[in-house]
Amino acid sequence: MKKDFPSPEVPFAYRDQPLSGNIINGLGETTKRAATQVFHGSGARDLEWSKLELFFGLINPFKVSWLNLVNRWMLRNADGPISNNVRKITSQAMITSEIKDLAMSFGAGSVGISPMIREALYKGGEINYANAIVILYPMDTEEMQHVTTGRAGTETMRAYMEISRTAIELSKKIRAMGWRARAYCEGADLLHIPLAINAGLGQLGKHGSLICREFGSSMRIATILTDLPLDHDRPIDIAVDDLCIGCRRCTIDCPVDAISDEKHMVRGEEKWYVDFDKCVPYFTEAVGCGICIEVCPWSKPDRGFSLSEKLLEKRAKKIKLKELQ
Amino acid sequence: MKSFEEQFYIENPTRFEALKRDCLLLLWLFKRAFMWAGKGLIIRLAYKKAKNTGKPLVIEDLIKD
Repeated sequence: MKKDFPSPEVPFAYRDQPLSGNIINGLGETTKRAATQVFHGSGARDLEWSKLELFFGLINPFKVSWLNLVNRWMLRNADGPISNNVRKITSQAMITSEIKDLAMSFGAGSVGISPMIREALYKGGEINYANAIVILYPMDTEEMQHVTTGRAGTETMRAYMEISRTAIELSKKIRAMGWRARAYCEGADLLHIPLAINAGLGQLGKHGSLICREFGSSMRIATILTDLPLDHDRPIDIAVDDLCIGCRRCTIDCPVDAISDEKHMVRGEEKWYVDFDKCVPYFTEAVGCGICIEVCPWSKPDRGFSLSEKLLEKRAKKIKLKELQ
Repeated sequence: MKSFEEQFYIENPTRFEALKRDCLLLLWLFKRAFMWAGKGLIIRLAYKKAKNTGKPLVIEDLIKD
């Protein structure tokens, strides 16, 4: 049953509707191409939906706006001085383990490593680093129960600040070893989800967000790009599709029906896709929304591992049965 | 127009470059804070009114190019 979320009727409109975000995102396109930024351009770059983004920033409660500004100030240290004493890497496995331990000690909830991939770049972007260290930071599930209120918005911004702090600290450590490193956090010129999937942290869910076993979708992602030689993790199968195909929690609870029960062709890839033109205006109205990630069964605390195990077992049984027939 | 990263992320900056970046970023943040307090207040009041009356706000009337 739907909770008492704000009405799907948003109290604002365009005189001249901007170009559909679904067109910009390449919905229905069968050839591969780089993504184009539509919204969430960190408020600096002019995008097709920038006016709505600015409007969103201006109607946000004071605390959310304040935390956003503090976060932006912190992010000046996302890149910086590189030590002249370059640490020689004798064992790639050892440095990888050290970096992962450091990330966890700085506050990351989970960490994975991927080579830098073209899918993580927006149109016009170039690969300037060899590796991507992807970190996840969990949000407080109690606070996030208050989605579509300023309370959940504040928790989201707090999580962004924490993950920014963690990513910045880690990038500083790498630069102190004499290697290039740059932290990318909220509203960055980088697509975090393809990197997180490639780094073995989780899979794409029906609601268009990453699902991991540790925190479901109730987390934030940041990435540190670096040239430090590191061992790569591999993508994992935690059986997200097995559940998403039959589960309708997010499709039912989404007040504007932006989530579809079927995968779509997007820029030459068949994947879960959320209707941008329905989602983003409501996202603006609902102080950042987040209903779909909070109602997701994977987001329930301590549920992901057992859920994944059960789904994988069920799938294995089905395959065995088919083989017997 | 440059993105946030293009404007304020500097690889291996000199002290002067870092100081210049910090000043520009502070200016950028002050601008946004003042916008939230000034223009934002007008928009939040209009938004509240629109919610109560049911007459939708036109984005282009509030945020010009």
